[in-house]
Amino acid sequence: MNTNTLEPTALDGRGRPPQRDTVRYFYDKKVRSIVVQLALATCILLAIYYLGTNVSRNLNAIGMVTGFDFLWSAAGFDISWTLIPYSASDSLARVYLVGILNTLLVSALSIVGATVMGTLIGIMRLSRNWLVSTVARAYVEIIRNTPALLQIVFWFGGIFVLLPKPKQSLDLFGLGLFPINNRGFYMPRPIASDLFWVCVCGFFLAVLAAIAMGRFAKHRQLVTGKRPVILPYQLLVIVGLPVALFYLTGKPLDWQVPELKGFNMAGGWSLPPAFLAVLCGLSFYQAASVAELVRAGIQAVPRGQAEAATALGFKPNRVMRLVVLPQALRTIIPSLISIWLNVIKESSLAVAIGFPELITVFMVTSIEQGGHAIEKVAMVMAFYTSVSLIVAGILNAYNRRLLAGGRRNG
Amino acid sequence: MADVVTKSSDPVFTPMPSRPAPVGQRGVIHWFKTRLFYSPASTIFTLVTLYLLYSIAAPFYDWAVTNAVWEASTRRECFDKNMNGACWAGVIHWFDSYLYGRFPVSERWRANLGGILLILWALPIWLPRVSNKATVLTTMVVVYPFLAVFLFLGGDWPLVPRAFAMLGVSFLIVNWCSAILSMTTARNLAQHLGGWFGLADKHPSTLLYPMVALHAVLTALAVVVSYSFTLPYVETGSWGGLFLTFVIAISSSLFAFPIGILLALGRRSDMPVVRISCTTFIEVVRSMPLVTLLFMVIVLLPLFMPAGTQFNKLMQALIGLSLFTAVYLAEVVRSGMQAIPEGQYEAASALGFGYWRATYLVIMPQALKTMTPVLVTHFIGNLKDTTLVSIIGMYDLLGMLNVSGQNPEWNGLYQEPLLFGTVLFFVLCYFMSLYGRHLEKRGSGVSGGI
Repeated sequence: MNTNTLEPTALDGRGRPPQRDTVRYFYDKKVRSIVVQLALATCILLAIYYLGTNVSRNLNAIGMVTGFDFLWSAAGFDISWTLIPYSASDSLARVYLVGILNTLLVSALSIVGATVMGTLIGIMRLSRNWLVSTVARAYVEIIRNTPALLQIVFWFGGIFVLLPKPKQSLDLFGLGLFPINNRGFYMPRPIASDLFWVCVCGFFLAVLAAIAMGRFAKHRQLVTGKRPVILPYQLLVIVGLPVALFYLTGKPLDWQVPELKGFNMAGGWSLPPAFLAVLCGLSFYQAASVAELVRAGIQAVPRGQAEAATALGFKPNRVMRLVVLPQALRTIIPSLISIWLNVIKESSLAVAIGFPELITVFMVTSIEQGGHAIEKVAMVMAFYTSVSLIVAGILNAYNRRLLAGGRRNG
Repeated sequence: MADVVTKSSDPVFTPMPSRPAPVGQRGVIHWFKTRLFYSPASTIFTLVTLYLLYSIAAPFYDWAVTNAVWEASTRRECFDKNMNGACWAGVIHWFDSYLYGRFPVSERWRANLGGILLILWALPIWLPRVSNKATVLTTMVVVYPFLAVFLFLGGDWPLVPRAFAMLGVSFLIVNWCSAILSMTTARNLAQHLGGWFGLADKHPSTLLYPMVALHAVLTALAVVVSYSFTLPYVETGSWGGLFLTFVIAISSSLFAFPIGILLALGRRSDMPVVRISCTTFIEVVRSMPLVTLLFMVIVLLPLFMPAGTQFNKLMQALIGLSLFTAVYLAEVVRSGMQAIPEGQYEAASALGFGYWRATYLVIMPQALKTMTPVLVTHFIGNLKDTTLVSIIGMYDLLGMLNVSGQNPEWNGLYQEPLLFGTVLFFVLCYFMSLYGRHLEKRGSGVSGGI
């Protein structure tokens, strides 16, 4: 660009030497941006067109039709464990539902397990007790530095499958009610008779009453400065009312206890070894993440907060409950929700040990059996994307509320 | 701060050494008192934890050490020797398979050599006063893979790809010469060569010409030498074990790197079409589990490609994993770029840098440097995620650990190999995470920067 001519050059409006129009247009930011965007859009459209023609050509070659009509045809394969009744003659739409329900069940239980265990371990890590905090730290390091899939496979192939046969079932908790063997874990199944709904209603009423008592106690505290003791009464109502109704209505609940019949257990609810392996694997794995999160969240609360509360005469557990935890939760909850989302996504690892969750039944078995890969993959993607979107929505709502709350509290 | 002038005659304050803490406040017993038994509750916690540890560790020790069988040729023999112990003999028997899969025994040195070359290649990055670190890193990403594939795959290569592979040899030699020269003489090879050819007072970019010539000569030599031997062809299907795990983890990270950076740039772009397409891609891939992506690549790719396209499972797994890693990397890079003060962008454009120059010379180096610890964490995650390729039927480390238990002679050997794999992964990942933490503590990237 450097010109060596000495004649003064006329400057254009922006104080630059004039350039040929094409060059100027090439360096114009606006023109450039439009060109780049058009080029990218064209590339994307061309790619889609190219892939689309390939797909239609390939599908024509094997005589497949696209569309979602296949959903109503019979699946033709069995699923080893389902939450809702299912048989091989049911439709593929039902297979999709079965897969989603299994995924959601194992995820929900793993989320509970991981959160409870993780919170416990996170608090252990903060303990002043060297042994306790070291054990918690070792747990976190070991779990986080080994692959989740390896852990799940280990729970399956190294533990649950190697349990004794049904005849020598292990008796968990020593009650004779929870046998566990290489076919799975069994528990009594409640069978409600007619009047059981009365007890359920009683329970919800009792919970409402307990909440009302809490409101009352808070009100008293605000008025008189003293907080009445209500916890025992709350517990009494929550436990007492349903139990009383239970006996009054003549014990409308039966338990079907699992028993050994022939070579297998019969009766009760059962969870297969693969389910247990995913549940344990995910719970133990994500508990480590939750533990780190809880530890970081509590440590992020400035020390002065706890010290100030102590100086005001709060007892240690109230310092934790009323001062430290509410502040820690602000940082913990958003990340906790993303860990929960991760649990739902990682439950797909179950495909490695053959637990019939969404991917196993709908992406592996059903595509092997009947094709329609594109539609099925799209449906699986739709499920995971919508779960992510829902979680993102919850997170945004929470953050908005948090911001609003922060402003209100000054 | 103003200097304080001290006359030599001034009395100098020297504090008395502090007295040792009272006997009751130091030593092992004090530590026990304050860290383990400082209150009734803590005493109970300590004892309960000790009991729990003992009740787990004691049976495990009996199984893994006391009753373990170290020498046997089948699992039955293990059982005959001791029913209640671990059958480590199986792990020993399969050890080489866990490391290399079904890679032919006589060719395993090639896998080892590839690993050693990679370490050699990367080593200058950690040496002090090396001025060509950027070249070392870039060539490791761009050139080394050809050399590695040449080694691992073997077979007869046509001239052009062979030249690319041999360019790797050339770069390895030149990088090391340059590193040693810059450590000893504070000038790197390019500057030395430029001096000899009388280019020292010319524009710095002319220093490139002698280097290009040098690479051309070295590559040509290496190509000629490489024709004197042929490495037997080893198809990717027989790659396996830890070797395959490393190949997949490292190459998917390498592929993911440029994609991730481009996606991050695209997501921060002012142009709506670019931004929206990048954001959509990132968010959709991020919402999916890796398993879905891997199955998609396996199931859908053949449908989307022209009929008759040949597919290699390794390639498919790499595509899936790279895309997956790339979108997460994009988010890392994006947050790294967000941490860079606006002034840096402004200063770069005030100096007349265009978008790409500013990004390449000003923004990215800083963003990557601050993100190095996170990148290490991501590589660990990637290494762990690599185990998922066993789901699509590849024999990576986890796949091999499962294979040994299906062998008729070692039927049911699962616990021991999986435990071995766990320990192996733990050692690898733990030391890497220690390194990541070390970088984080030091507050900067690789010494001297990238």
